Amino acid sequence: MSLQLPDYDKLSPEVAARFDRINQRPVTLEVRGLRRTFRTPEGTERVVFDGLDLDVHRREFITVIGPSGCGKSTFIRIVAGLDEASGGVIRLNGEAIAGPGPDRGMVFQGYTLFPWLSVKKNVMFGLRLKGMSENSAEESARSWLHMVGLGAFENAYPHQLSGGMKQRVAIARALANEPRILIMDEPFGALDAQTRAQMQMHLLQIWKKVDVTILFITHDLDEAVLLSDRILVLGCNPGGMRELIRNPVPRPRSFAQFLSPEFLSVKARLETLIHPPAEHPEEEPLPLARMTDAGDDVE
Amino acid sequence: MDHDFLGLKKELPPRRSLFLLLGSFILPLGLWCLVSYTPWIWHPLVHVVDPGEVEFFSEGMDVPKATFAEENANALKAGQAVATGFPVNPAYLPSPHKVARALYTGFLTEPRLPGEPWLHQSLARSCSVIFWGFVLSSVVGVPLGILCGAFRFFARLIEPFIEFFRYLPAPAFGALCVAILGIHDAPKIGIIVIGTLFQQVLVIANTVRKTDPALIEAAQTLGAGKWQIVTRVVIPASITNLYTDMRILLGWAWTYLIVSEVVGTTSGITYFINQQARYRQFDNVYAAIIIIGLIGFISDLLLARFGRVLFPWQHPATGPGRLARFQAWMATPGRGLFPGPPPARPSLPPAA
Repeated sequence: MSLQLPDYDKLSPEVAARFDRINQRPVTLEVRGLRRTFRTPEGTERVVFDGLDLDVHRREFITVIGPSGCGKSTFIRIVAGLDEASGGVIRLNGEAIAGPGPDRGMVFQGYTLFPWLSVKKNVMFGLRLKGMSENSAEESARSWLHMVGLGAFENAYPHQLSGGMKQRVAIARALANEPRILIMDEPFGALDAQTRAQMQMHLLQIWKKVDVTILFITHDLDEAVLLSDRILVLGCNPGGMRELIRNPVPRPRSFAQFLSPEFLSVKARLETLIHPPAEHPEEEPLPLARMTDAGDDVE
Repeated sequence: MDHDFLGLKKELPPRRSLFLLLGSFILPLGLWCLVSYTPWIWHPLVHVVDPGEVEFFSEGMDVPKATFAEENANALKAGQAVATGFPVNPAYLPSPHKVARALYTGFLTEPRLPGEPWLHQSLARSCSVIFWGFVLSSVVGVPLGILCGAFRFFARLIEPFIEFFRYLPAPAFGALCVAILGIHDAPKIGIIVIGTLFQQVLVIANTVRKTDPALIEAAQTLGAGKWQIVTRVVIPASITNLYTDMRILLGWAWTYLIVSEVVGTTSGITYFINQQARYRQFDNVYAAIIIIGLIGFISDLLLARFGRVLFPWQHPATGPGRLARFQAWMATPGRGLFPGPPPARPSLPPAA
């Protein structure tokens, strides 16, 4: 028996109204019939996903979640232009994408700040590539660093920063380019639990102030429910979209909502999708290695 | 863990570390002193002070111990005056204090032949050969290495031939170099280029290839094009390692120096060494060899120090081993070799 999510659109007019508002906004990212296959060493083809469709609206926060090795990263790397699709099309504001570009900013799980540049110069990197003058790039970099709360660190080098600070600079660097969509590949995965919690709230505050659509990968169920408007669940064998969940947890979000019925029911639904109950639970029991003479009273 | 001398990959306490570092020099030096200053250890020859009435001997001659004893026994039998002398080592093993003195007097001794270079002139000529050889090699090798490291196309086009060529021994090209480039410094520089260039391309290509691909992808998502990635990401990302590579390659260039200096007319420090060996001034030979070592060591030390100025972003916690840290310590302003005010460190405001 797999746990179903109550139909919150019917149960709660607020939830329905919120998603109506989102759906009225223009579509930023349009994925149609996306297909990606890999050639295995044996010469056969492995289909990661086939016929993936998705519409992401402007300023929507979409989280992609799924078991490891099921193409979460492949999917967003294709959107970023770092990987090629085997078929289908991706449009950003109506234009088909080809290769990586500054209209899609990316924050990686590993720290990808340029170690030879100061924090400020890291944020200026994309702006200078665009041909912006040194002075205005510097001014812009300062304001973005201020936005992520690192105004005082503009002259520090990346190795002098903590992991959370590095990711904040990476966010500032991506946003400084004013991308239409910000792609985040498990950006807080390498951080300790406290820092991750801080960064989650921090990201929500930034997103509130900045007109940007966010496509966010995580394997952390709490993080997915805390941050997103909708959650795209990818599956394995067959690969592809399992479900696209509308997250009923009201905004503004806080950790206090972790125990709300909406939060728990979404999380429980994700749990059943990602870790489905074993199909043959009553198979042969494993032989029990008898380690002690204590008897069988240990469950 | 005070008595765990051989802890695997364990940091040694600083005092012990310094002790071992000094020991690594003092141990061989002590052995040398022992052999030189203890008359009953080795000392296979006898230095004749007074030949007495032994026919073959003359004052100042070194003869094997056995011969000395035999001739004296004969002289004693014949009722002649015996020779006197004291045990010495062969001329090719001068004692440490003689070599130490030669380090100084070598520069003051006028050459024996007219037109022969002084020691400092020989050294300068050697250094200029090394310098031009290394510069010429780098002018070609560094860009080629970067291209090979950054683009598979160039790697496939260039590296297989270089892989083959680097196994050809550079000294074997001596005669060719002389035939093509004449007998002066040009063929010597040519040998150093041949010895260095091919290794250089491969070493640099390898270092450039190790650029973190995540940095390249990050730059792509920020809108960087192909050549912008090479100039703004690949090169700066590998520059610190390239700098270290160049320091190591400069050491290799030194190893080709002696070979290159006997090509054509013998010149530079090799000429000095050969002449001094001919005069049996072995203390000067050792002094010259030590001076080459010192020049190499000190120039590397200065380059390491200069690297810290050039690349301020380097993480202090990673990389340098104990020797490198000692070199860096020696080369840090305010300590070691350069007494003076310490460098200004970038200051961080307290964490938010």
